[in-house]
Amino acid sequence: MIAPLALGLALGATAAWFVPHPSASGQSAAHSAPPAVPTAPFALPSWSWRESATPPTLAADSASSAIVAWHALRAPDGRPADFATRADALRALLLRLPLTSFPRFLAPLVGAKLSEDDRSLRQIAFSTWIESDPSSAATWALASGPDQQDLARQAVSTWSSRDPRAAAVWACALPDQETARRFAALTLPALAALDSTQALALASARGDAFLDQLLPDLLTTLAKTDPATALRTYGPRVWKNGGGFWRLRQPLGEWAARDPAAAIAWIVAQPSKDRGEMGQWLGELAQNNAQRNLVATALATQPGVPNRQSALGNMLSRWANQDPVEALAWLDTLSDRNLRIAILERSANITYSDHPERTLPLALAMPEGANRSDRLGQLLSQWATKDAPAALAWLRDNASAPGVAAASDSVRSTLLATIARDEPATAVAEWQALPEGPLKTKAISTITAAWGQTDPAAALQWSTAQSKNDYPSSELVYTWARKDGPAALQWAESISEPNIRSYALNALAGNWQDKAPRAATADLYAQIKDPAVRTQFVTQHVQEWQTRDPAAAKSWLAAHPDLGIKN
Amino acid sequence: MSSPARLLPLCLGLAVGASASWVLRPLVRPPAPAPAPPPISASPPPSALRPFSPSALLLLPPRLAGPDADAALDSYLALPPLAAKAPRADIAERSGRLRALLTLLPTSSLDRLFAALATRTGDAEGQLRRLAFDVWVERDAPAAALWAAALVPGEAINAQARSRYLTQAARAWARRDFDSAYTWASTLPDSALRKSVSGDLLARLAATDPTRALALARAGGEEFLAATQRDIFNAWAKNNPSAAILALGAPLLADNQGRWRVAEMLGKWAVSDPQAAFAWLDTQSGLDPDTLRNTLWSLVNQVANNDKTSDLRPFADVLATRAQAGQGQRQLSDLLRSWSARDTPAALAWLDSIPDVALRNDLLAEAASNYSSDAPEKSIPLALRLPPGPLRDNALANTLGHWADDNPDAALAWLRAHDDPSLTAVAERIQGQLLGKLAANDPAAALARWQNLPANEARITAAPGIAKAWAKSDPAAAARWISAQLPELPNIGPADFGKLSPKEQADLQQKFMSYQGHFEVLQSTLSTWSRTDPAAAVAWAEGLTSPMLKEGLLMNMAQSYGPYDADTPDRAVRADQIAAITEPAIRDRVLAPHLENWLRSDLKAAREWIDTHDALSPEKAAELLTKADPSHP
Repeated sequence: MIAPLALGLALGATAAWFVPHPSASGQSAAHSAPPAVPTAPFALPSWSWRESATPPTLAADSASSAIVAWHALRAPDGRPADFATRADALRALLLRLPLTSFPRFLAPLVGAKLSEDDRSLRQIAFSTWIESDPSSAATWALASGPDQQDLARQAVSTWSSRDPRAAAVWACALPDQETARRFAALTLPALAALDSTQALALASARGDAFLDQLLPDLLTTLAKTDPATALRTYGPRVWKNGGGFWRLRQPLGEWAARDPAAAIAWIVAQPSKDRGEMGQWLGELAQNNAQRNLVATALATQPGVPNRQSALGNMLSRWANQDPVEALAWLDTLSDRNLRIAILERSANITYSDHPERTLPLALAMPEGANRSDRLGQLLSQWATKDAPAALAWLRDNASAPGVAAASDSVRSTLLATIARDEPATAVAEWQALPEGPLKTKAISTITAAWGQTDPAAALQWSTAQSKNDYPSSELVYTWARKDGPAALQWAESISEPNIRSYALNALAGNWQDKAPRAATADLYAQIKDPAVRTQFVTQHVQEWQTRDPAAAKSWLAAHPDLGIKN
Repeated sequence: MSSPARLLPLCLGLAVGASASWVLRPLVRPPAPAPAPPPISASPPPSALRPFSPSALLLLPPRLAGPDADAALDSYLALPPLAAKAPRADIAERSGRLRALLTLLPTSSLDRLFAALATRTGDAEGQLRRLAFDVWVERDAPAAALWAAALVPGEAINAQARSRYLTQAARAWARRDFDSAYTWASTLPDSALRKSVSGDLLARLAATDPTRALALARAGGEEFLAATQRDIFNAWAKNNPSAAILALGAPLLADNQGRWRVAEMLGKWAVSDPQAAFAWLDTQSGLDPDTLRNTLWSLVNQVANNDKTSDLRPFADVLATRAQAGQGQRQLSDLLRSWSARDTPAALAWLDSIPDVALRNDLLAEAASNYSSDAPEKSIPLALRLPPGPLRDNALANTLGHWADDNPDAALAWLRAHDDPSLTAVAERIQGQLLGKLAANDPAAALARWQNLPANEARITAAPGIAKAWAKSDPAAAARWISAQLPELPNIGPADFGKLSPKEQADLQQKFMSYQGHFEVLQSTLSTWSRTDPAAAVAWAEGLTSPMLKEGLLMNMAQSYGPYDADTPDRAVRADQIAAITEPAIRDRVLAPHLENWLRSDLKAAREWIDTHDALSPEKAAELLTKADPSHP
């Protein structure tokens, strides 16, 4: 009696010791799901590295047990084992896992809501599978639901790099058209590099729409070996189907690197909406430093290039931003002075540059004249707003160069505007201390624009008090009118110069992007003191209103008989 | 005792033993305390001390130790390094060996393994090194990070690869113990690496704890904050765009690259809460108007291209409220155009909800005139909603005209299908345009059909299109023909126009209002002609009887170099051509603006031309030179 009882106690205690405790809440899906078969301690078969470099593969039933044991890994307290332990055990297991067991291993790790650790572990396993059997891995991932699309892409990419033919045939035979297109786009280019005829045949077999979607990628591959033939054969179809220049930019760049004249001639022969577009394309043709010299020279010398100056200007501004020395060296090879100047004048697109100072060498290469001073002023002012000490130091170092003195006025004016935004009184005091001259005049508008962002009324009143002949910013006038229409009207009426006064009165109604409600503007114009001016403005406003809302305009007029304006 | 009875003690023993073991196990082996942050050292605790469950121990093969580990490692390292372009099979075989070795080696041996691997060059060995590094990072990320930080970039591992190793290890370390990893990364001696690695850690932290990430970035100083805030914003905004914008939107708007990202996220915010998104934008009063405008465009664009058009309505409501208060009308019309192109009935139904009729028609007119260049016909439903009159005619003529340019058959079919008397004027304009297309290939046929047009109005409307197309092949003939279609002009020059009374000016303008297209085409045609045969073009213009037309055309020819973006002609050649004008007063007036431009562009060359030519009167020459260069005597 005692012996069986003792034996039972021993066996029961031992078995229960190894059975994991219920998992804590918040665990991943893989660990909260019960394993498919009861958990049992599983030992990997022993292996000696001295006898073989890698351990032997597990038999199928052992693999199943090992998989269950791995998924059931627990820390002694019953919680899931830590990541390092699981990863360690996984790597040991993967060395021994037969390829047919991977789906079974991965099944509990499918789903969108995996923890980051589980995703990492899945990736370790999947990468191992892909290395040995990418085709099965791809098929499994694709069948495992939409969340595994990334895995499928990884597997197909590897498969395609090893056996492009099989991968492409598989992709093009997938039943769903969109899935087939996505995976064909991954596989067909690799096949095209090997056998363009088969790649095109596979893409064509699913119809024209399918081929049209894949043709740009196929063309890009084909162009790596023979861009001229690829573009001449398939380029027009891609272009016609909405691909246009931007879709073909890479193969065109390849062609331009080998035969810029032919590539340029081909682009020029393609349909374009307008000439500006053509200039932009040609300016974007060179994609790296090696191509730039070749393409620029071809653009400058080849007959029949439309928008030559614009194309070269576009190209040079980017070139100069990346490598001003090389860009200028190329420019110096140009013998046509007119072309050189035109390119320089069209080349500095500073609007969105974080480094306007990089384009300064181009401005300095411009001949003496007001355009050079203006360009220097723009670049330096932009630079000064980002790094005033550097811009001012540059001005000091280059003070004797033509145009720099005039440009420094722009910079100082910009700096005054920067002050005016937050401290208008200081800016005005500094402005007053300036000697009479072009800088002082120019600074009025920049101070007004900056000050007007916070106080349009004060800025405009100050501006008109300093200069009687400058047109105010319509945007500022309208901003003021929205805040305090009567005050803005009173100010506009006080302007002595008739054209400027009319301009300001018009601006009270809005501008090209914003408009005050018509009735509000009519009410405001009805308060104009000068009867003739009032009649003129009310009449023209109501006329315009009638084209939009005749009933409302008519009704407003009827309500204001005192104005004496007939409908 | 019967058989079943004999088994009773065994079963009882099993039950009691199992229960006791189950209950007692946690008491006997309490849960391990939370592991302390790993020390910043390359020597982690030996893996054997880690609290594995028995089943884990069974899955993990025992690690080699001491001489055995050294021997296994030596055996691997004794293999000749793979060639840079080793065959795939060789790489697979070697990576299998390496993987197996890594399951056996204690963590303490990895230093020695990597000391050897770090010197191996070529892609194949690079792959093996990365494979081994993955394992090291899993087992002991701090040690792997220390190794990567100590690397000196060279032939085998360049600076970029070092940075990748470092980032990978630091990320893994931070996943287990963010504080230690971040503290360590913040003390890296190389400032570029320090910024890049700690910035990367903050960006990752921002996905789960953005407030803390931002606080740490701020604690790193202004420069560090500026370098990291964009990445923190990106990670933050992915989960919570509004909070990210409230915290970091303002400084990022001042940054060229950050601005687009803020606008993109503002778009997401605006889809869920347009009122709040605009309210935030309104608080950005320090923004310059251009930035504010661009942000608004970008925001509207984001929302307009949203997957669900149903999201557009609340956004449009907010924009409409603003537009009715006089702000953002243009953005609303852009939204309407885009919306209408995707879901016309919904867009038009929404439009009907705007009570302000004038605003509604403003929006329709703007949206219709800013048609998509790829599909102008999509704007037709908007134009048709306008009240009959010039506003609707212009909008329809524009959209149909551009459609007719791309697809004349479709545009004509549409007109035929809409047999509406109010469309007569529009149809005539389109017909004129189509005659222009015919004139490009067969001017005589186009002229014959033009002669047969029933109404004079229709002929006036159609004439510019014909001349424009004809000018491409024969600008001289086109210029002569279109000038002959003009009514008699008054015998006054441009300067005299300003001397007329306002009524006389208005009457003249009224008389020639219908001929605006004629004048425009005449100007462009003469510019085209002057590029191929400037002498003939100048001579023909000089022969015109109307002083106003003559001087206006010559002036335009001197200033305009053809279509937009066309190449600027050689300034000296152009000056020589203008100098051929025989009447000195007109020559002075036409030449002066050209020379003024040239002086701006190339002071010395223009001055030399003026000094060596007598085409300009001495007074005008002196005036120009002094203006261009006040130091000129």
